[in-house]
Amino acid sequence: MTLLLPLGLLGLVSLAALLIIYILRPNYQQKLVSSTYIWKLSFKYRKKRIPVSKLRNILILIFQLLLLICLTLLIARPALVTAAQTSDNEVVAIIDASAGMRAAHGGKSRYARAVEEAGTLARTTLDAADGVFSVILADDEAHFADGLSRLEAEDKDELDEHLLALSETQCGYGAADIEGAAELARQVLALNPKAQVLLYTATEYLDTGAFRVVDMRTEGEWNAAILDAAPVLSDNNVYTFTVDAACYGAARPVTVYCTLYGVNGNAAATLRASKTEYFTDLEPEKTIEFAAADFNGSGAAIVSFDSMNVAVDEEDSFQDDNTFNVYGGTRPTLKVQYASSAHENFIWTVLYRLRSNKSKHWNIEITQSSPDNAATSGFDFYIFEHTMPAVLPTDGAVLLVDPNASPEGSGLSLGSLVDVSTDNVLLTLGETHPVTRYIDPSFIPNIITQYRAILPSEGYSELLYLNGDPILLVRKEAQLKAAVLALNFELADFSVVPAFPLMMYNLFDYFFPVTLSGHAFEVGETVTVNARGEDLKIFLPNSETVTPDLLPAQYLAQQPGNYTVTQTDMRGATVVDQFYVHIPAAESNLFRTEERLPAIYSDDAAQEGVRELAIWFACAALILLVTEWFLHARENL
Amino acid sequence: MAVSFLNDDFFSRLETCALNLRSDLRGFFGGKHLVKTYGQTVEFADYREYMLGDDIRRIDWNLFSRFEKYFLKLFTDERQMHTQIYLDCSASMGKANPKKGAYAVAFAAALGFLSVHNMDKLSYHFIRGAASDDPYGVIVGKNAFFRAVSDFDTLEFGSEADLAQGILGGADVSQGNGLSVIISDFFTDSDWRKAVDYLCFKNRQVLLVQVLTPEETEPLYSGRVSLIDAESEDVLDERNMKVRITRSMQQAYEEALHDFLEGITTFCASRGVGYAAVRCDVPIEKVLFGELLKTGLLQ
Repeated sequence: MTLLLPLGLLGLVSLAALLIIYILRPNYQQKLVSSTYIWKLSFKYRKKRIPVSKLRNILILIFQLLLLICLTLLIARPALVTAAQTSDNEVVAIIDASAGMRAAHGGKSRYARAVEEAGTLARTTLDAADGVFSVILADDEAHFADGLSRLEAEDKDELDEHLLALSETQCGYGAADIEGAAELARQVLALNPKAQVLLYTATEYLDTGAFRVVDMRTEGEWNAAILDAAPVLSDNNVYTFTVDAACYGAARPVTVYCTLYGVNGNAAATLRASKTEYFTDLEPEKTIEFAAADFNGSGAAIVSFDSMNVAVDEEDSFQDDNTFNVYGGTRPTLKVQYASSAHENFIWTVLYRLRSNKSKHWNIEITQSSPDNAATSGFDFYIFEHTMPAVLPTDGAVLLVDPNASPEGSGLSLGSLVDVSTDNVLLTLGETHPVTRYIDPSFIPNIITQYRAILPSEGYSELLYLNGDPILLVRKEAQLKAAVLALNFELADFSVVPAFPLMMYNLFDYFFPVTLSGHAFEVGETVTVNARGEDLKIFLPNSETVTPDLLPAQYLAQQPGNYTVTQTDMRGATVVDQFYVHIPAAESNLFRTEERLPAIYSDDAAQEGVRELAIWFACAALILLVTEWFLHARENL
Repeated sequence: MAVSFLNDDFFSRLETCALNLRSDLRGFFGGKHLVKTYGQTVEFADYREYMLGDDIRRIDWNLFSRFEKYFLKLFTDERQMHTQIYLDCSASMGKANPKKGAYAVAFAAALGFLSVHNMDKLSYHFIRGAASDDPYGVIVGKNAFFRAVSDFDTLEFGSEADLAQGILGGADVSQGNGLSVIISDFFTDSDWRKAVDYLCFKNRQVLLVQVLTPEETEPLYSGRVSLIDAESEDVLDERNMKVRITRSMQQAYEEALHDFLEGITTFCASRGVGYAAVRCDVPIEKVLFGELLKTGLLQ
């Protein structure tokens, strides 16, 4: 054990001070009392005890002295020197496995060159008898390379096998987890503070800290990239398209091609445009705008499109960011039918507001009809009010309002009409359900005079009760999606309170969830996938298929490219959605500069291989303090 | 005496009360205390048959017309009593805690006021050493009382007090003519019980008032303490004691004090003597109108 701050031993002077205090302290405090007569009597009542008080006093003094010694040593920073047991020849190689390391020149990628150089260093290191070598791959989640976690010289035979496996490991498409790699390096440094940490990367760091950075860039590398692309809808509902393009490492002209598919509702219509921009080192990034006039067509305004492909056709060092696809140009159409024997403005209003609010994701077409002309097929969402169809539609979701009969196939059992006194209305929620989200029955006025009793019906979830009878029920199965609201809006004011539009919005979201949370993502982002139909599948760019078990599903996009999501709707038709995952824009810059690398040494002591014992001495001081306090407390018992 | 309870408010609150003494006391003519004997008041008490020598003017002729026998009407008698208040003036009553002495003085003044307010005679006896000092003589009337009380603020508590010698050796207490009150903490080796027995023998109504401080009932000091007795002459006095006060020692003290108070209570009960132990942190009005009302001495 050594002391990092020997001057702290001056604290031992306090021992002498304590002893002096013990010697000089007055033995008895004087107290003027009138009750010595009773104190004398009390001796007869005093219980005999073992005379341990002297021993206790000595123990208290001993513990106080030990406590002072502990605190003094704590100031002097006691430590154990551990460096003597560690190797002088330990190397930790961190290989940046981000997308930027995929850049290739002369037929070899940066990553491949980094693996080669790390392999050469590993062989040299393990030639020494005390050599230890580790490789950390810093891809989207840093980890030790297989078999290369503190490989020692005696296991040198395994090195070639591990290096071969490492060279076959694919570089990632996302950003590098340098912080995670630094944490793993810290773990190694905790065991051997003398270990050398190398970082094979193409990113330039202004402050490399304790890392030795090996630059993997080579002469002649350059990259033309599409960083982002997006359609812009003007106020007069005409599309223009902006493309963020870049060229790093070379001053040259780059041509950007833009292709539109399914233009203006014509699935076969394809428009192409291209623009050439000159990029320099001073201005490597530019935003290019494509308007209708730029495309090879009639020059007519573009009011809709299915998808867009943006690309640069260059033989640059990094090919994965040369293409960018934009999907979601055309919104899927949802057909809604509202059939009622007495049309209500309440339902109309909510439907129109719904159409407006959901216009970002859906093209909602609303049809009004009378019960006699009401269709029972061909729509996605049916609303029947007062007069019910004979047979429940099976190709779409159905909302039955104030049902007068149970449609065949609905599985509903209706009771009679129930009159209610307005003084006796109690609305309560049933099970927690997405359809009743944000609905608070206490905010619904109790002006309800009649409702239709619904007998227990199998498969239906009861969501809202009036005086104990269910008035809002929902059923969602593959071929039967139905909701029932057993209120007549002429005899109930449910339709004029916020709970009604809330219920309609919730119901719509419940039956028709948006399939994708977006149509363009970066590698490493999470995509939320949901389905309004059945049999949802995600087809990845590498032809693999993912079938989520639970919806909505969270999918982590790890490869760039086109992803296709399919599902089967209630009519049996296959619904297709697509999204595109692109390389993070920052990774396209093959020559980027960062501020600093994370710290990997905790403090100087760790560098010298010294383990401080302060925590142990602090614990001992605490124990002594508690024991001394305990003895003090016992002293007056 | 730095602390004092005596003021006009204090006495004005006492005006509604009166001492309720035993009816078998003899007392003096005049006064307001009802006694067992028949007298000359206007309040009817009883009848008895005429006996030779009785004043024929007291024969009830209405009864004679009904029974043809001579009956006399008897009336109640009211007497004047003499209240003697013995105040322990030892150092233990006021040196360690001046509030204790002030409290005892206030108690003595309150009882004295109640006496003179009921037209009784009053005398104060301050016991110092083995002597009983009676500086004011017999006090009759409020003017004499307030003259005496105005002197109370200069009262000094010091040295020792032998209650037994002070009472037994003092002026002769007459037979059965009033109330004797002893105000002390009774923390003394003196055999004060002998004095109480003497007063009972003299057929006086006796009341013991024990004044204690909170520190005496619940001592809070602990550790190694040199207890200096308030009555001690110097540090080397044998009554002083060095003691390490622990929790068990405090418990022993509480038990000893409890048994000591129980002993006084038992003794007083066996002699028919009134007893009130009061803590000087309790408002004196609460003791007067609470404890003494409960004992029946006050009405």
